[in-house]
Amino acid sequence: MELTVYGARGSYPIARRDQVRYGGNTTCLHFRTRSGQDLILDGGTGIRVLGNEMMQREYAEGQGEAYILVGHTHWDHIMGFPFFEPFYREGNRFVVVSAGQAGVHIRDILSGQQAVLHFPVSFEHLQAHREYLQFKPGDHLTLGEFRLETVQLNHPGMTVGYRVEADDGVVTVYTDTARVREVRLGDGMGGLEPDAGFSRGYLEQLAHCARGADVLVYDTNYLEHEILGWYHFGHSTVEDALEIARMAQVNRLVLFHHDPEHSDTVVEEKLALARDLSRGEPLTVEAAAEGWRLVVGPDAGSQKGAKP
Amino acid sequence: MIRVRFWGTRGSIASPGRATQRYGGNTPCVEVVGFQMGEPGAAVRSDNPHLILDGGTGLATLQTTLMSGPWGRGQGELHLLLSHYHWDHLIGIPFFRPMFVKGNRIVFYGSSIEDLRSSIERLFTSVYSPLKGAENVAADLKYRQVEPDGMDVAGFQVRAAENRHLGTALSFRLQYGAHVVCYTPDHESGDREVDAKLVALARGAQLWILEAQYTAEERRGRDSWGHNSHLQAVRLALEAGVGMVVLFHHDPAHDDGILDRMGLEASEMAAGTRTQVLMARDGMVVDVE
Ligand SMILES: [Zn+2]
Ligand SMILES: [Zn+2]
Ligand SMILES: [Zn+2]
Ligand SMILES: [Zn+2]
Repeated sequence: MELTVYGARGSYPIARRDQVRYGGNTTCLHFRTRSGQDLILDGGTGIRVLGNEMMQREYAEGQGEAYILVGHTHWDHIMGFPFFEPFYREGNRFVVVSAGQAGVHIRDILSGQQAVLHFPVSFEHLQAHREYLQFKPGDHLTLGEFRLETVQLNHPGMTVGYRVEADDGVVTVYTDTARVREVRLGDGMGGLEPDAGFSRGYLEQLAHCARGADVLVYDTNYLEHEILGWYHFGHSTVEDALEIARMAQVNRLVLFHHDPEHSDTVVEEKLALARDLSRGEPLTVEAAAEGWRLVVGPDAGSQKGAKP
Repeated sequence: MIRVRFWGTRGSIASPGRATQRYGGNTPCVEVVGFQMGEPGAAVRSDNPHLILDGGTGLATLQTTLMSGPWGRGQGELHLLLSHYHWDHLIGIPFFRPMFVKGNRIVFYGSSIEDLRSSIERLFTSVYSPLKGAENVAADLKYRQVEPDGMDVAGFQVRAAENRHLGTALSFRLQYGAHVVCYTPDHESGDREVDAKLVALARGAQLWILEAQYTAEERRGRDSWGHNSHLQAVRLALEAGVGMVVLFHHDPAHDDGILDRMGLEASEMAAGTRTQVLMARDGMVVDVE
């Protein structure tokens, strides 16, 4: 399958000239199987660009079908949905897959985003057909050719990490997760204070859901000197990502959820650091950049992912 | 003099990327500072009249400057005028660093206290924000209703009028001494009465910041979408006879080349008049002297 990055920035979109290499759109990833099935992960501002490209295909005729996974519903992961053109075409069909947030169903969360005070078109009036699939982290899901495993991430509220398998390729994506040794943030994780036993079990869960993945996409929002005092914001560093990559024995790590304050140069420093720290290990490290497409699984041999 | 700094000039949704890097892709946020004659004008002191128009993603680029001043120490007071409650004008707020420093005071102004309060609260609810509620914002938040016929905001004399848009959207007229700046985001020309009121509001302004989202062709198919074409914007500016019109709220689908072309067409239309036309860009500064 193919994985394309439409938004790699975290927290909020930003347009700065010193960031055009990695891009300023917030999270959105697109998976496509060999047979042409579409799965979208997150509706950050990157989904506007993805939607425009989909409108060059069957979605323009109202004949498109896709699964949409929402990792969690903080602004940076959903604010692009109102500008997703394929939603405005009758005949297109979508299955929106989410664990909800704070006991609220994803439909009501997206509909709240399009309340008349804040957006001119209500979510209920979108022409495309939408269905919903609500699950609990830990559930296994089958969506067409995609087989998914899910795990709760350590981030305020309810946030889900996904293991996506298709065409004999595996990608695990942890968009937003904090260092569990410092803080427990997720709903139901039993209070803020860290706990050694909990941490060990939790890290093993993360590693399990990423076991042997062809690609691990990981929240590396911060550099070590920046994360001090900000653990409760719910993000990680390159060091945290490497720890899980090693435990899970993945051989390709993609740095993701870049801090909006980080210029391209800082992202490149982050990347250099990760490569330095993993020197001699069987691990390739890259940083997610908007527009970057990689081929995952057995197909990867025929065509190496290349930066545009 | 009044210094106007454009931190965000894009409409609808942020559109970062190579194709938009010259004009910028941050959504509306304009900083306005008043200076006495002869002031050096480089640094904003805490006693300069100072306000922000709209809280789009441009706020994020503004915050770096603010945080190096009193706002970083919890001694800042910020006045934020919101034209309306569409996300492109609000979405910078939940990420705005001065909100997270105890001691700062942030005063929001809008057409209705109720809508203001519910908008800010919605930005911070646990469904959308890791802060899990506006009550967890460290800064002190205040809400004020705009008095259309005149009110003092941070040293500016402010008047307002209603645009033609979806829901209530306001234009603001800011006066400091002899200098006047007018701000009209999100407006669709075509209703004579509304247009006449806005023209009256802007009359005598040295600078009118005016929305011009669409090309003329795009505008033709988009009645009641709530936005001007660049040519409609220039027509209003000429009618008001302002010294300069800055066109902004660029469509996210417009790349730098399209905006260059729209700028040329707009300038041609104003050629031979006393009104100068400028296309807004993120980071642009205009001094009204
Ligand atoms: Zn995030
Ligand atoms: Zn989040
Ligand atoms: Zn707008
Ligand atoms: Zn609007």
